[in-house]
Amino acid sequence: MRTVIYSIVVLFCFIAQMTAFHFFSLLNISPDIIIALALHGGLRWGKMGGVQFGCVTGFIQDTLSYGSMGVNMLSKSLIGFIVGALREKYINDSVTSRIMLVTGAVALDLFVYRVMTVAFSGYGLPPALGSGEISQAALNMAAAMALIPVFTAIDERIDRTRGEKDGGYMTISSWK
Amino acid sequence: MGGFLRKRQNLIIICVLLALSLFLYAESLSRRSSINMLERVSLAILSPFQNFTAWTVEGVFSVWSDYVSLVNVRQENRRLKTVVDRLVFENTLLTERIKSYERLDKLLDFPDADKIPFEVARIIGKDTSSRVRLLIINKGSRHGLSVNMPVITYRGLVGRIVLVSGSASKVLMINDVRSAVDGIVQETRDSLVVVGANSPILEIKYLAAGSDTREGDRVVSSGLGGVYPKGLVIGVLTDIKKVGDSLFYSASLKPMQDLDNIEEVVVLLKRPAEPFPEKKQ
Repeated sequence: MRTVIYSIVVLFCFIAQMTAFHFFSLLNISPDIIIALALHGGLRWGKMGGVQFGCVTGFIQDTLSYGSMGVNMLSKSLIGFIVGALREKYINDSVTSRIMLVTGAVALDLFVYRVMTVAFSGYGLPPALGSGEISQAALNMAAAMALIPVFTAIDERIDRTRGEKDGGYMTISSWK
Repeated sequence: MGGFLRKRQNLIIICVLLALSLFLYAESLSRRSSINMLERVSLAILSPFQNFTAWTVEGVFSVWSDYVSLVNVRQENRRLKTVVDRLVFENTLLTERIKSYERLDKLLDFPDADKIPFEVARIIGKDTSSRVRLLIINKGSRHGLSVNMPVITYRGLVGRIVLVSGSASKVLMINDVRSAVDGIVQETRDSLVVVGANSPILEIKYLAAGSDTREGDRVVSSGLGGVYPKGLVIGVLTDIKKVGDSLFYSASLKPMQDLDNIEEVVVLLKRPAEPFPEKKQ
């Protein structure tokens, strides 16, 4: 049941990302909501669950793109893994920790993309961050902050329907 | 052994991930058939959903733009009527000129270079991130499309097809960092290369310093490179600067259209490497 619902949510996110979001994009940039999915995976299932969920969503994202197989898989897996590891040990819920998590995830995603592209592909990316990349990062942060509570609400709903207790998620309700 | 692995679990996970990602990236850069197959399968699975979503969202937007948001339509209509009158006049002149060219072509027995078959396609999706300038169109191999076919709009060049499934295709746009188009300046015939920069403005490389090129000059495809036919409009030159003792100008190119807001495209069903269609006797 949970797998089916998650598959539908992931499918919906990808379709929204590739189609609907482009109609509402700001400055021709649309948010990468898969970062929010990877973050959610880490928060929900810890580092092992996070890395698996991030790996799958990142891999799907790569297959839907062109010539960048492995880049999103690596960045989203690392986001899931690191967030999951932090959640298990250090994170307590607060506005500051939320902002730090989302900022760190967006920065990591950007870092992995730039390192992989510049180091291995030979395409000429400028050394400094462009306005496009900065706008993209800001939009990704806004989208992640807005979407994680939605994903957690879906999770809670599944738990309630199935009569299960909170699966170890860090204070789900406080993210709303 | 078990304890050793458990202790270094995090490191092992990261190393495996890194190795797997690098392997996939290397495969992807060399465009192996297995990677193409994966991308083709995911495109085939998602394209019906994208088609439906694009159709729904466009429907909602068209209700708004066609029935609700009609401010300034009267003034717009008056302005467009003037433009149409001017274009009709120009069209008459150009039709006459084409007729005379056709007569000359017949005399010289030139091939019908401009009768390239085409297919009109609708855009049903874009890349999942803004890092790759990619369009997904609702036509595929069933409609005669294949890899490396040029994609244009009535205003100018958009890109080329890089992946085809049965009923959808991926188009790599000219403003992607992976794109490079060999072009010439229409007025001065200077050659240059147009390179994508993942932004709305493209970069110009190898424009010889000392040429008479000016800002606002049009750049068209040169036909070299075997992908784009000669004469497709790419954009207009901007920001031409001389940089120190460099042999080349630094310049940018503004495409003829906003590449991020295209709704429909035309796919030319022929590559320049192929022979022109036989002329009917």
